[in-house]
Amino acid sequence: MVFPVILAYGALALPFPGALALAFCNGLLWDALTVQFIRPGAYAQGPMMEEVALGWSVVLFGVLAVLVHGLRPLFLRGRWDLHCLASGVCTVVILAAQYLMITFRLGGLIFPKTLWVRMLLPGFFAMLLSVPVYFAFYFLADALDYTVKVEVDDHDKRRR
Amino acid sequence: MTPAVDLSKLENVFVVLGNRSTTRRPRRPAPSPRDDMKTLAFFGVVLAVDLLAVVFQSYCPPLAVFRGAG
Repeated sequence: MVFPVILAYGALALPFPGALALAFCNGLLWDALTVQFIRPGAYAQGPMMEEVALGWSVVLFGVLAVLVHGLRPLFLRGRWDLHCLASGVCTVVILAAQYLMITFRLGGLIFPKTLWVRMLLPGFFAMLLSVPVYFAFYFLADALDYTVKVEVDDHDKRRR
Repeated sequence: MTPAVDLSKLENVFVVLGNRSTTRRPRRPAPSPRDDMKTLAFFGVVLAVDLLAVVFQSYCPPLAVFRGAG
């Protein structure tokens, strides 16, 4: 729940290379934290294998970072609610993708009712968590004199 | 009345096709090395917070409930 919130903030506040680098680090950390080793099949004697292969999350986080980065111009104009929305959506998408990868690997596609709760509830909490995270990063950026908000000039106002 | 646009210039053709204003937008100054250093420093801070979250989720028991959801 914390990683998607930080990923969403990084993708919105950092330039494109920074967003991609953060997605890479976040993906590796996520995989390293959530890696599970299983035996394929109930009675198989074969070697253990990972439930979700290391590196898949890097690709997923990268794609999400690129998509969220597209909202950066609006975010820089002061739309802090976009971070809140992106955090929730990223959390739900990551959990859904991870679940799909696991079910595909195990050879079935089951959607129990509790699955939606276990995906949507972390998304909701991520949205709640994103507000203090946004303001914490806002003050950190201010301390470092890093610009996360630009003034809207007259040219932009006329175009609206 | 719509001002006449000089379509002999290729960039104006794209401006008209995109239905955008032909008034030239004032360019923002290119980032200086100092700005790049600020960006790098902020990236480092974001990464440090990320690593801090890992440590807390791994070793702080009350926060371990979040581990399942990352």
